[in-house]
Amino acid sequence: MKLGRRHFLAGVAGAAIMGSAGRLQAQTSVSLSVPWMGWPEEQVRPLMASFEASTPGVKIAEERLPIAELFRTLEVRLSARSATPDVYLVDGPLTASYAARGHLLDLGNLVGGERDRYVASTLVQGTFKDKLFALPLGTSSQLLFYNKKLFAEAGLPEPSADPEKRMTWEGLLDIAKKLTKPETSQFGFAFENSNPYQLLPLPQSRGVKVIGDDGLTATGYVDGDGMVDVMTWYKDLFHTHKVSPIGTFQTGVTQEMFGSGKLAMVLGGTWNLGGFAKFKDLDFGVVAHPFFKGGKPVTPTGSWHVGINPRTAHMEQAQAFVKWMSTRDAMNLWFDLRQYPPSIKQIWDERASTTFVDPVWKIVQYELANTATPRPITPGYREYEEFLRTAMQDIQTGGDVKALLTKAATSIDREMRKYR
Amino acid sequence: MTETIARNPLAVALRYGALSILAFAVVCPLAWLALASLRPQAEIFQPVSEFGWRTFVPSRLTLDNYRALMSGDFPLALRNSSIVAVTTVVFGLVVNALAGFAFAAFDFRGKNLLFLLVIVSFMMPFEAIVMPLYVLISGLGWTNSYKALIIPEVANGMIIFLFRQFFASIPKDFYEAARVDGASWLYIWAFIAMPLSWPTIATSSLMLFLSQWDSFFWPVVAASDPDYAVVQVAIARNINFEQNDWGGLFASTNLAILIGMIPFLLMQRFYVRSLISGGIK
Repeated sequence: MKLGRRHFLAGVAGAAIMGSAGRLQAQTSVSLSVPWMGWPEEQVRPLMASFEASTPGVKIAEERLPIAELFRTLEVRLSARSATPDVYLVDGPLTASYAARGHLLDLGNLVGGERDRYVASTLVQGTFKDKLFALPLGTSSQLLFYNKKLFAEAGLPEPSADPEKRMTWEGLLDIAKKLTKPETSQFGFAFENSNPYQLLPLPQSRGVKVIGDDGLTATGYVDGDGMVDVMTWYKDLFHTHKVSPIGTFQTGVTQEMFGSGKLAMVLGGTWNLGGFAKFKDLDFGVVAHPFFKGGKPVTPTGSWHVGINPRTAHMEQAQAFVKWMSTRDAMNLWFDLRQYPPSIKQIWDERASTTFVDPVWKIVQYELANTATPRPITPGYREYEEFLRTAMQDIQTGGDVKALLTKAATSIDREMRKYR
Repeated sequence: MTETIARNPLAVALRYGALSILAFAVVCPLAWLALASLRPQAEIFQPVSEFGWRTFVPSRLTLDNYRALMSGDFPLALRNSSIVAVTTVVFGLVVNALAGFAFAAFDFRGKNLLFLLVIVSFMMPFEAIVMPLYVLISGLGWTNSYKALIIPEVANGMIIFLFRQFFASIPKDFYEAARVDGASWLYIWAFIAMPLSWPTIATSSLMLFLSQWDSFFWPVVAASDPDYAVVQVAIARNINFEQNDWGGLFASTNLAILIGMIPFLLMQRFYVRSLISGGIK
């Protein structure tokens, strides 16, 4: 990962120089309102500064918002059908929701014949009714991180990094039990958080459908027998086997636990590679996402996209910004800033012999090509996710699985009516 | 009953024991929060799971988290929140006290219906009105300005209600005597009613101040430009989906609590008096 850091610093320095040069330009510049995720400033500003330097006269007023507020404020502003935001960050599965309500500009002309430049699966979630509405800024995958020291202490052999020889959930549970030590508050395993993104691969690994074919029916799927079985297995991790710490709803928490050696294994995204860097004593290995015995390996995927508000007062500049975001240079800088698996093939190729020789990226590449399964494509994903997330959290804290899932399914169906 | 407990030393011990445990339970998380903000980043969570004296006493005290905070955009957020909160208090007191006075002193057609609407206004969850409010503010071209943060919060149904209740408790003879002497209603409000209502003014100021100091969702929606970021927004920036800056989070929370307490400490005298005067009546 050393190379990544060097690239990152070079990127920051370059962007800073270019940014300050850009500031000398044009007094009468257009400023685009761009709601963005609340990533640290040093992972956001350089990207915007680099665009500003390349396009004199356009400034980006990015608003770094916490995730929940990003969604809520976008909802208010878009529903008000106002001219702001000009360009905004779209969570992949929300593309359909925004597009169905006319909040996204069709990017077909902008991308034109360049679709081949993208890793095919990344375009899927930015597409609704065969039209591309949101450009992927990257994609994602989940990996199993394990603490080498804790494995050695428990006398356990390290698992194989070969995705073909990945662990089963049954096997993982056995190991997790051996790595759980209540006397020192050490836990064997945790999912980095309890969101549907994280947990849907569990039922999917058993071939359970998580939404009806129409993309609008939850009853019979969200509360179907397959789902109830799997979520009961999930609940048992916390309450019967006690290998997972209750209350781990947020990546920030599991990251600290894993980093300080209180958690032996964590299933998490590539963003953790950066998050773990601050723990100097941490020695960890990475293997592929587990699957259920008799089932098939499934991994979550999808990430952030960028889209244009069709009502923007600065259409030309907004398109220039999004177009720039699809360039090799922008995507290369973005990878340096935040290590999401790239959506542009060129980045994979260019870094094949440098960054991506790391076994971590070999696994990610394998998953993207073979096991990556996008979240349900439905205009009601926002509602679907919201109710399911609440149910999943309540299951973790010990609620009744069947009752919670039925309640979620009923609520989702009720909300979905408006999309029928 | 107090005396029987006082006579029995065992009961006294039990009572103080129970109170101490309660006090510890209440203070403990806050103390931990305060101390955690003084720890080096990597050490914040390490001692938590092994509960002991190390949980509370950092191995090394550092102001790094605060230094990082002060060099970022947090001071700007403090400034913004202070401007917004203080302005809201000043205008809010005048507007709400005048409205409360009108409800208490005058009889006019539709008064009860209007008062009912005032009460409904503070029972309505903010989420329910955020959309029309945003359309209005953006139609006026006020987004990303102090106006957007202050003006919708000035009139407050709860405060109008408080003032009305207080002014209604002042005997009408006071007002009538002043009217006979030729005083205008505005004069009566400013020099007779208001000077009597310091406890209500104190309570209302605190409520207005805290509602603005704690406001989060509306500022995010209406004025998300970094130049207008308020304290709660700045705090929330430390939490994101994939990584948290715990040191920054704790340090900024602590500062927000400490500064938010200043008006309470200033007004405390009146706050207590309002409770006492309530008791006499």
